[in-house]
Amino acid sequence: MIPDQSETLSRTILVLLPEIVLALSAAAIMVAGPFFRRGRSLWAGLSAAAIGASLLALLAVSGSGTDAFAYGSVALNDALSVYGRFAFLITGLILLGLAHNQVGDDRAAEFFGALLFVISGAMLVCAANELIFLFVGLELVSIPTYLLLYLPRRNRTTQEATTKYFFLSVFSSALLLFGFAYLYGLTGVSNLKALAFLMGGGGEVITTGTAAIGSIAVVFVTAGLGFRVAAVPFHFYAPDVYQGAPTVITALLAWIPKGIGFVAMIRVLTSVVSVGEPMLSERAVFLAWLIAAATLILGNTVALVQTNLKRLFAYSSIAHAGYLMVGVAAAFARVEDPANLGPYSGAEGIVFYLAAYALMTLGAFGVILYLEGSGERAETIDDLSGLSRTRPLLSLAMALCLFSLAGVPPLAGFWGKFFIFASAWTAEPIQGIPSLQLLAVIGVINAAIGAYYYLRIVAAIYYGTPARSPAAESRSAAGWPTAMAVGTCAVLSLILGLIPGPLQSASRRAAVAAIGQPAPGTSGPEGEDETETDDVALVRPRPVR
Amino acid sequence: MTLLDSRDLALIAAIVALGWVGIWLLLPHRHGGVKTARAYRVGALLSAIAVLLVLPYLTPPGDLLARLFFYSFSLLALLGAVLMITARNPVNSALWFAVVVLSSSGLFLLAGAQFLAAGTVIVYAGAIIVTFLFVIMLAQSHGQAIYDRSARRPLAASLTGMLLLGALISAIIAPGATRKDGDPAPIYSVGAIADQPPADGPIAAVTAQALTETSRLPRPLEQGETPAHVAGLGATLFTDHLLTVQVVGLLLFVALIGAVAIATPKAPIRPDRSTASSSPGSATTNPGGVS
Repeated sequence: MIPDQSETLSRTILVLLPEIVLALSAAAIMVAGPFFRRGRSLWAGLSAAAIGASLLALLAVSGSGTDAFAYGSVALNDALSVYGRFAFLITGLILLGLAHNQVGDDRAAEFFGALLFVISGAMLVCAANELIFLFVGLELVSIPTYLLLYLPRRNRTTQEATTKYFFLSVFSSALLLFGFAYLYGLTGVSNLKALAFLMGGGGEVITTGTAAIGSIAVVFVTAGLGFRVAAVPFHFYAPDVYQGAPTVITALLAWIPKGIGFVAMIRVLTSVVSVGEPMLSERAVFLAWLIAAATLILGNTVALVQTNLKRLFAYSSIAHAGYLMVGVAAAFARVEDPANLGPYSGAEGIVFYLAAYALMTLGAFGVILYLEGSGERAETIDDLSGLSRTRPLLSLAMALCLFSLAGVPPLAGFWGKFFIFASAWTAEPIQGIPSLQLLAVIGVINAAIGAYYYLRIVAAIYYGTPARSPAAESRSAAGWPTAMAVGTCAVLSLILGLIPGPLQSASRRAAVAAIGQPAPGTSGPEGEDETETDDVALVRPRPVR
Repeated sequence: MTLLDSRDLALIAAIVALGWVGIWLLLPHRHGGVKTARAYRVGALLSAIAVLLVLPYLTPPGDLLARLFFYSFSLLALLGAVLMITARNPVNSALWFAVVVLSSSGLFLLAGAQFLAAGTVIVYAGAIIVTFLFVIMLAQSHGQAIYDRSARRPLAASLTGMLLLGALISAIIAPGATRKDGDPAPIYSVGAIADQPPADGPIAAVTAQALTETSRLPRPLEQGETPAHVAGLGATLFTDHLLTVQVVGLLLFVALIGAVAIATPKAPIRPDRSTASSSPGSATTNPGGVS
């Protein structure tokens, strides 16, 4: 049966309990900030408690299914939503550990409140099942990010980075909204599951002619999200902003916008387009093909000549957007039967890669932060040379993260690349556009190029000579939360690389849930073929309000 | 696999080419210099031809009066848009933007979207353009800067804009290009499907779930009665989009706190009493920042 509106709403609120807990705590911290003059450790501790409470809430609601009202609710609790929200909460804890001493006492409440808002916005994006709700979730990430960029340090470089990021982010939001308007105009429904269902509805609603309008939507939504994930040609802000921003915010920018950008692409684009009109899906594959190839080549080749660590990681993050775009290209390919994905699906590769990417990137930035926190210079590659002599454990963590970024087996980054390239390699060839296998080959070549500049850092750490004699007495400790966050990232990268099974099956479930279409009006299993009308006979008339 | 016939393609190519040259001639000089009057005249002529070529693609509504208003609002909006980006004075640009906003509100009104029309006038023409003007007036206390008077990459920018316009026009007219008279409308109205009983098929069932009663357009009423737009909008905002409205509230809250946190010039010296008492100089040099 179809739940009526108030039942749908109350169950959606229940599903969104983790976000509500997080957002209310963030609001409370921000309001309390001016009245309680305490140091930053109180606010950091409260934020950690809020993330913990949100994790508990997520575990509590993770069992409640939303298939029965998937076509009418603004948020879903499917496998992708649980996976993404869990990932953002864990990485939120890691980010909190990295950020705990990065802001002055006077701005701590606003800073940590904004951080919690960013995490809750990212979680809303994972759960979103409606165009406007998704957009508002994306904005709930963007607007606190401007605040985070500016609060920790107020000098000219931060100002420049904030201004650049602010204007480009607003511009990308406008592009995204323009695309959403066309996507909505195609069918007149804003619910994403319903949109995907109508796109695939036997050519009745979407015809070849309307596919042209759909391609406007695909182009503009890809452009708007391309800014967030820093894909070529929308990457140009990344190096300047990454270099100018405080390091912990650079870490946040390297992960959160990229994560939500790709989750939003899975939700809005690939799940909707791949089940729809073949012509639209072919064009979308071609678009993603071009972006992926350009992003990979530009990101990796320019990263080769960088010496500044933050700029290098900026180009490396552009290159990783390229690997993920390979997954998007594979995910755009037409899926005949939403219930039956192939052995490797693009969306599966993307969500696996995102989790691995989060750990390795945050770990690498965490090492830089740790060094900065203990009063050492960590701006260029040369600053790291000979680090293994003075800090063997930290060097090991950095090496693990860098090996994972380079895609060396058996670390998490290797499996991420493997699943993405496998999905591109096994995709059906499409007439008229370069094959996805060629794209996979380009990706593998670029992974080899990328390995060079990551291994260069590792070589500097282990075989370089220290630029200056380590003065042990001048060093101060950087704080245990930072060390713990770095350790967690490195250890998890190793564990997920050695035992990729659980994460892989979770990403598999997420990919299936993202594209699956619950049978309309029944709470049956996911992915019922929409041409079967047997179930529909059982549907009761919609309750008249 | 071409969706457009050659006549449409030629017309669109002409719009792009004429608009490109015309806008480029109208745009301010790259270094802020003055162009000759002839350049402006030729540019205005070419842009006007491009604007006129766009008009056949517009589908005017209803009777003669509505048609008249439609074309005047459309022409005014296009004219205002061209003048807004080509004006050399930022104040003039802001005022031309007001013209664009007002004439698009007129188009909204013709399309039956009264609330959107009123909201656009109030928010854009009323609040945002006034803010623009304030900012421009405050920023220009020492006369115009060179970057206000010059256009950045005028040739490439106008070409990109025109190519985008051409792509949009061709994509929008493509669904109707092969349509004969009597064919169903190319864009399917799911509102009609949603009115079918859900038992008619899975598409009807899904549409009925996705388009609840509150989120549909008001039914056409008897002659003379106007459908209650604002009531309908309120109903859909606070039933279907209740959670979205709440999240927007959170957004406004963050923006408010962020504006206060960023705008205060000096950080209020707050935390420990020890630092506050040990450095009394900070309180005297910064009386405004003491909390």
